[in-house]
Amino acid sequence: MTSRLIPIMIDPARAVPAPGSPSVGELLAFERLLAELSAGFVNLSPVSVDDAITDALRRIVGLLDVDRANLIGFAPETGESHLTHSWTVNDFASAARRSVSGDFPWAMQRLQAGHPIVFSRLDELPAEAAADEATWRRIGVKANLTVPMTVGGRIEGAIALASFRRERHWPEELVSRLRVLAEVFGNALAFKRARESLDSAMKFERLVSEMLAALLTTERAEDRDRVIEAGLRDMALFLGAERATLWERLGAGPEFRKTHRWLAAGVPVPPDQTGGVALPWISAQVVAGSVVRFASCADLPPEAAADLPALRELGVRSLVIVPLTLAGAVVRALSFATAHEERDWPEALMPRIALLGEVLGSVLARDEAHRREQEARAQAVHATRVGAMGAFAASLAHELTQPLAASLANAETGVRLLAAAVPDLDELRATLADIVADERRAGDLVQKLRRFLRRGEVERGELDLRELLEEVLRLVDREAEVRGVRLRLEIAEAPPKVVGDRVQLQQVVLNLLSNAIDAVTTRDRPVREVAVLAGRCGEGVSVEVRDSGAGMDGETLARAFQAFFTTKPKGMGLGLSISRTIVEAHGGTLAAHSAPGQGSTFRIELPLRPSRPAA
Amino acid sequence: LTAPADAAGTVFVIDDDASVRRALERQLRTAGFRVETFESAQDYVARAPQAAIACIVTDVRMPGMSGLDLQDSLSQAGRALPMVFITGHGDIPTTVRAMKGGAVNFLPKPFAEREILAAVAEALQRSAVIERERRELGSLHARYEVLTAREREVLALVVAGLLNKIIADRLGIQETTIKVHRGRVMEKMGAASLADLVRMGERLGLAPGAGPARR
Repeated sequence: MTSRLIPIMIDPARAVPAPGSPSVGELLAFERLLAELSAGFVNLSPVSVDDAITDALRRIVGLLDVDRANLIGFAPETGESHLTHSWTVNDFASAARRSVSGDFPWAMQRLQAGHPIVFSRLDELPAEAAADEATWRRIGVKANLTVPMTVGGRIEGAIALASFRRERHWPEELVSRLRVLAEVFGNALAFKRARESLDSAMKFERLVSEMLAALLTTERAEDRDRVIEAGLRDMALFLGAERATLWERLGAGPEFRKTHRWLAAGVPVPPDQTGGVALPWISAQVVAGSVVRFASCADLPPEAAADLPALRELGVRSLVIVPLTLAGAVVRALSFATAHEERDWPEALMPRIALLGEVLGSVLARDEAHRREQEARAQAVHATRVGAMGAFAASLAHELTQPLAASLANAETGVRLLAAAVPDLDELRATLADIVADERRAGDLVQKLRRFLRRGEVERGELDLRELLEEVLRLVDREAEVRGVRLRLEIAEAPPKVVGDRVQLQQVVLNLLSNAIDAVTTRDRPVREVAVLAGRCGEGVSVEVRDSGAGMDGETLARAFQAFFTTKPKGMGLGLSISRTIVEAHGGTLAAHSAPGQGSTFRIELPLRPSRPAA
Repeated sequence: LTAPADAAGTVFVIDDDASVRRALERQLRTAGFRVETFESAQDYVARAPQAAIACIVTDVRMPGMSGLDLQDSLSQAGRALPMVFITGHGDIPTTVRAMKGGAVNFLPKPFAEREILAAVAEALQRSAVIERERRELGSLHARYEVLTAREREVLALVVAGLLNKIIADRLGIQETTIKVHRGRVMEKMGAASLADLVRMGERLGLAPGAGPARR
């Protein structure tokens, strides 16, 4: 038995002369309990509210010498009554937390209407309470006092006191005291609920802000998709949803297309469809900027009848869908749904979900604009470089074709002249002299090109190797992706800054990278990997471009850097030759290591600053 | 490797590159063609060389007037010649434009000897055909000029396929007189048969109600 605070409070019917008036000591003890509880319930964390309530029930049981005290809660949406907290003296089995609506139909109805249940003996119960009486009899309750409990002005539960050992009288005074106690409990529960909703709102906001932060710092499209899907998952789990879907509006119409989705385990994949046609009412609401929320399809207004078949087909039992707006226009929508049971979406979260819609909508749009701009810029840079290189190559090709065309014409003329019965030797001599002159001219052009690259308008600046390499990688990123090549950049520690011409050095790396990508994709290579490795190297830095291609034999390797040597059907055979010229102009070296079947490695070594510009 | 049998024609070579000009001149000359060289399209236009049968071998990309501009300008001035383009930097749009403008061929530099010789031979042949037709038309016009007004009327109606009787009705004169006019027209035009005369009329652009084609 628990220790009794007030031992005199045994049975008011017998102990107190006038029935209905509790002893002074009893009332004092009760007042003290009320005061303690009122004070104690304030500043409780939501978690300890439950323990505090159970402890209070224990003290009431002791104080009033009853055998059991229960707290019952009424679910507002269903009217269902649940036993939420209970304390029973040791001699009897404790009560399990359960629904009690079915056991006490009469009592619960009376309580929800605001009336207390008071009986000293079971036979005081009216005939309508037959079902309730049977339950009490089965449990072994001989007397009961139950008062409704109001939380935030609404009747949301009840406190019940039961006596198993004997029938007993409940004085009027006790009933009213118990009502006050119920109020204290109600306040505690209201407080708990407010704290919970505040906590959950904060948790939700944290989820949202984490997702937004992740979105803003993620650049790769696949990573962004993962971030969005993880965010959908976190929010769905938080809201108790089984599906979370992000929709993109198609044009200005009512149709939406799914872009991201998370499904709880065991939830069937819904058939793909756009919402505008199948869900006319819901789409119209969302497009108009309203949040649509229903705990059950039965809650939908009659105008939404046309949406019901599609909702059934999609297996949606309950739904909340939020429009995502950008500059006032609905551009996307975010939906959470349950498939297995109906779910009431917490009212308190609605403004936050709507706000999430606003923020997420603008972040996604901003992000998309940012990405598009970056893509456009990268393409522009690429086009400019390719254009510059292309124009350079074209003008070089044009200049070189002149002596080559003249030489070929002269050579063929020479052959024809020799075939004559009496060859015109003077003509032949002149022809050969012209060929020699033109070949010299072609050689001079290549020399001129080299000198130009060495002395040309070179802008030397301090270069951050990482930045330089990352920029080049970005240029070939898409190309590599399309061709199934895995690009890897490894930079050992932080390499020192290098002095040189940014664009020229980038062209060298770009050239080596395009060669490497070609090398791993020309044959059906099983491993398509290109790695760029950079780091310190003695007093300078080194950059290696390694490929998993077929490699080169000794002869190809020996000629790789010669001008006009190429193994590519459309190559000019100038890339490596020019690259080496550029690197040497920076006072560095460019070398290749390769063997058939082993891939190739091109290694650039650069001093931190060119000792002197090579002539 | 032999010079073309009919080398009666002049090749005008236009290229801003002296080496190419020299090599082409030698190649074509030793292959049996008469060759004149020009260092630019403007140079060609300014010198306006004359030759009954001729063709142009020109670079496409040149400082100043390009090969294509030259083609347009000659064609507008009614001085078009068959052209062979050579280029160090051929692209499809340029090629298409040149071929649409009537180019004989479009050869990327460097080109094989048989290609350039075949192209030049074809161009000169085309020039010869054009020249022959031009002369024939000139002589037709000259003969037409000597016809009397009445004879021209009769010729136009004959070309339109009308019978003498109907021609006589139209012109309000005797059928026998028509026969006389017709005989004189045949004679003056040098037509061997009625069919021949009709063909001549068509070449002169005579259609019912239409006057003769302009020269």
